[in-house]
Amino acid sequence: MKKTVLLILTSLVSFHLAAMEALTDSDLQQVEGQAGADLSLKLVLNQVNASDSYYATGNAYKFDSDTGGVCAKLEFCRLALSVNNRYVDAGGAANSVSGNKLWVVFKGIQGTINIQKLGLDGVDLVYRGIDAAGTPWIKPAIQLGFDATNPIQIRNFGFNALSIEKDEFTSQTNANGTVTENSSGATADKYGYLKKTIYDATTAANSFYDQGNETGFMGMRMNGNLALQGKIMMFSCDTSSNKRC
Amino acid sequence: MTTLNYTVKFHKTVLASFIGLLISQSCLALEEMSDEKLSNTTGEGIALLPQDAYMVFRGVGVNETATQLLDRTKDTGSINYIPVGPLSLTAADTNKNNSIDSGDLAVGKADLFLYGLALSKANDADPNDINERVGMLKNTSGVATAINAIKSWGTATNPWILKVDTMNAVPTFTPDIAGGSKNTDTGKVTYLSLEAPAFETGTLDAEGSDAYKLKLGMWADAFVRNPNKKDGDPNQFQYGTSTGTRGNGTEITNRENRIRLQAIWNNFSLNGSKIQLFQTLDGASNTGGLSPFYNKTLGLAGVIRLNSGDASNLKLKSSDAITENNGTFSAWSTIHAGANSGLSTSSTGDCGNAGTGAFGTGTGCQYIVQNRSRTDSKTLTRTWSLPAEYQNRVLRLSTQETSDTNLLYTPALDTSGNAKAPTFAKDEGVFIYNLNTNLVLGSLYQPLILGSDGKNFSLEIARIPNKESIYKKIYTDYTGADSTYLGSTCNIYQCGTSTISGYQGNNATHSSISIGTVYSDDGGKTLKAYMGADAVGVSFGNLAQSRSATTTATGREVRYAQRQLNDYNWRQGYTCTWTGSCTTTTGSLKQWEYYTGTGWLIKDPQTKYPDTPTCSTGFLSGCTSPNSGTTPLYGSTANRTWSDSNLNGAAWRTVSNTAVDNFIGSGNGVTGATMSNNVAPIPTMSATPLNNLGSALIDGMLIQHMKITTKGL
Repeated sequence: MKKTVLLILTSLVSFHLAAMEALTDSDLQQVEGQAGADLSLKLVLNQVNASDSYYATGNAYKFDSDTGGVCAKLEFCRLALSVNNRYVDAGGAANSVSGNKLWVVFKGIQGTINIQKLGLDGVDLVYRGIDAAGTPWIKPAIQLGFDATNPIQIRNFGFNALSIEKDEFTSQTNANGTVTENSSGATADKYGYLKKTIYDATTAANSFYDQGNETGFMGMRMNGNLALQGKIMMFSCDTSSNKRC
Repeated sequence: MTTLNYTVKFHKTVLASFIGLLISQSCLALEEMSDEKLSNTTGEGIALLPQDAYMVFRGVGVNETATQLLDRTKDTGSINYIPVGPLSLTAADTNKNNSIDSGDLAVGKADLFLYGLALSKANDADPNDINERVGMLKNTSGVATAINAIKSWGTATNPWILKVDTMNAVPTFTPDIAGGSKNTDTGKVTYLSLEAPAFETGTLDAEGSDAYKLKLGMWADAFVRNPNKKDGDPNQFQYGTSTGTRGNGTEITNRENRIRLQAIWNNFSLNGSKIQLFQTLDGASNTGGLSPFYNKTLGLAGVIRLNSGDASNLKLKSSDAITENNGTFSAWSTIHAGANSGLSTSSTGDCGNAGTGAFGTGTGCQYIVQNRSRTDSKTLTRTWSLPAEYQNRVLRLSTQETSDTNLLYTPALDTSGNAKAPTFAKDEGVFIYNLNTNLVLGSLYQPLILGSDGKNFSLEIARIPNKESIYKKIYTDYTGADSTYLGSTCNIYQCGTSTISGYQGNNATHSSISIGTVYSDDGGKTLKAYMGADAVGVSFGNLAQSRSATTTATGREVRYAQRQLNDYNWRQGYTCTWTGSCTTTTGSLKQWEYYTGTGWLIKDPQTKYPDTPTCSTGFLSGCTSPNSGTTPLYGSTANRTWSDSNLNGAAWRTVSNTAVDNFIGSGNGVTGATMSNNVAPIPTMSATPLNNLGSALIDGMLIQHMKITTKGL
C-alpha cells in the first residue's frame, strides 16, 4: 500500500511540475471527491506513558523526571526560543547587535496530545468571483474535519516554569545577518537554555512550595478533552481570486 | 519519552483525486506564467474557512456522545496557570518593617484554573443565553437539543487568510535631523499576516453572518496558595488565620481563599482583526527616546477588533404599570362635639347646651363635626427592557454560584472521577453591554517588540520616531485641513481605508473602546457616548428588570351637623317723651334652629310675647305702654342639647362649608371632599435602573510608546 501511495504521489507531483497544462475549472469540477482519509496522531512528550488504555484516567501522564527517566536531567527537557538580535550588555543594557544572547525557556515541557480523529477530505467550495457580477465558480479545497465525539485528549500538557535566560558568553550579529557565538571553551551550562537553577532554602526561604523546583515565573498545565466540532476549509488565495491576498 | 504515533486510515478512497486537489491548490489559475511574472508575485496565501464549528474544553474522561456534550457540568477541562517563585519582599512584607515575620498578613501567590474554554454561536432565541457558556439550541420546553455551531466563520469570498506579503518603502527608525533635512531612509518589510474575515459594510452576507454572533465562555477558580505547603498537600490552599498572621502554624480549615468567576461574551465578532509578524528595520539609536533594541528583531503588529456591533439605537425601553389599592374607611369619629366655642370633643363647654340662661353662639357652638379616614396605596412597576437585537450583546463577568460546593473545591484536583462545574446565578455580575474594542497595537512603522534585561520580560510598542515620514502616517488631523496626516481611528464604523468595496479597512492607527450606547455624528470619524437616561453600558446585574415603588396616603371625609341662632323679636316696651320722641324696646327670644337636611327647625320652640301696644302722648306729657314680657328670653334646655348620637333634629351634612373648614383646620379634613378615587400620589422613580452606570467611551487613543515589564524576577 505504502509503495503504491508513494508511486501515485510521485507521479502526481512530477506531473504537476513537469507538464504545466492548464486545468480549467470545469476539469476540476469533474474530479469526484469521495471519502478522504481519517488521521489520528498521538504525541507523548517527556512523560511516563504507563497506561495506554484509552486514556481514561489522567493519572498516568507523569513528567518522566525520576532517576533513569528521560528527564532525569531537567535541563534537557526544555523548549527555548531566541528572537532575532536580542542581547544584553554586561551592564544589563539592551542591545540588538552583540552581547549575551537572550532566551525564552520553557522548562519542564511535557504533555500528551492525542488527536483521535482528523478527517481529511477534498471538497468543492462555491466561491463568488471578484468580477462585478460576482459570478460564482467552484473552488476545490482541503477539508479538515473534527468531531466533538472524538475529542482531542490533552493530558498534563504544558511546562513547569517559564523563564528568561541569557548565555554566559557573548554573541554578535554580523553585517550579513549571521550570528557568531564567542563560545570557545564554554561548557553546556553556559548556554542560557541549559542553565539549571533550582529554588532552595536560601533562594526561596519564604516559600517551601517552590523549593526543589526550577526557577522561572509561571507554569502552565492543560488537562481535558478538547471537544472540537466542525471543518476547516483550506484553499489557495491569490490576488487574482481575492484582493485581500 | 517522546513518541509520535500516527495512523492514516484510507477509506476506499480516490486518493489520487484528493492529492490532485491538494497539489493544485496554489496553481488553480493554471495559466502559463513566465519567470518574470512569477518573480513579481508578492502576496500569496492560504485561505481558511471554519464551518459548522464549535469548541468546548471538557473534563478528562472517555469520549462522549453528542447528547452528553450538552451537559455543562462536565466543562471541566482545565488550563492551570502555576505560580512559580517566591513572593518578593515588597509583596510579602505587608507591615513594611523590611522583613517577613509573624506581623505580616498572609499573602500568597495564586493558582489559577481556567475551565471549560468554549467558542460557539450565541443564540438570541434562548432567554437564558447570557448565562450559557456554550450556545445551545433548545426546544420549546427550554431543553437543550444541540450545541449552536458557527455555521460559517467568514465565507469562501471573505475567508481567514494566512499570507506572506511585502511592503515596500517602510521608513526606518532613523529620525529627521533636528532643524535640518528630513530623513528618507526606507526599507522593505516582508511580513507574515493572519487576517480574520474582513469587516463588512452595509448589509451583511447572510452566509457568513454567524461570524458576528460568536460566543466565548469560560469559568475559573483561583486560590491563594500556601507557600508553606508543597504542591498537592491536602492543605495547600488553606492559608492565613483570622488574626492575619502568616500562617506558619495552624491554618484555619476552609478559609475562603477561592474566587469563582464565570465569563461569557455574547454576540461579538473578530472580523477585521489581523496580526503581522516581521523583522523590524533599523536606524534606532539611544537618541530621541528610541532604543537600539528596536533594530532588526521580531516585530509584531496587530489590529484587534472585538466588536458587538453598532449601538447607536441601543436605548433602554421602559413601560409603567400602576396598581391602586383603596383602603376601607374607618368609623366616623367626632372631632368636635358642638358644646364649646373652641374645637373640642368634650360634651360640655361654653355653649351652655345644658343651661337655661344665656348661651354661647360662636362657630364652635353651631356645629358637631366628625371625620373618617381611608389609607390608599399606589404601586408603580417600571419594567425595563432592551431592544431584542441588543439584549444578548453582553460581556458578563459573574461570581455567584448557585450550586454551592465546598469552598476549597476545584474540579482539576478532584480525583473521584465525578468532577463537576458549578452553576452560576443568572442575573448577577457585571454586565458590559455592546462592547466594541478596536485596538491598534503597533504597525509596520511602529512595531511591537519583545525585550528583556536578562531576567525580566517586556513588551514594548516602539516610540514613534521623530520622523515626518512615519508620524504623518500615524497622526490624525481631525480638521481634515492637512491631508498629509494619514492616521484615523478604528471603530465599529470604520478602520482606516479599504481598497476593496464592501469591506472596512484594517490600517487605522488609533484605537477606540466603547461600551454601550455610542454613536457617531461625523460619519464614523469620531465617537460620542450617548448621555440620556436611557443610555445603556455597564451595569451590575441585568438591566432587563422590573422595579416597584409604592406610595400611601390617608384621605379624610368630613361631615357635620349644623344649627344656627334664631332670634325672635317683639315690641317689648314702648315709651314716648313729652316732645313726642318715642323709644321702642325690642324683646329677644334666642333659640337654636337645626338644619334637618331640607330646612331649619327649631326644636322645642318657645313662644315670644305679643308686641306691646304703642301709646300716644298728651300735651306736655309722655306715655309708656306696659312691658310685654321680659327680655331677653333663651331657648329651653331641650332646644340646646345635642350630641353626635342625638343631633336634636339636625341631619349630617357634607356640603362644603368654609366656616367649618376654618374651624377644624385642614389636618382634620375638608368639607365637601368625597373620596371616590385613590388618593395616593403617583410614586416617583428613577428613569433608569439604579444599577445602570451608563455608557462609556475611549476614542482616538494613540499609543505613542508603551512598555510593559515584569519586575523582580
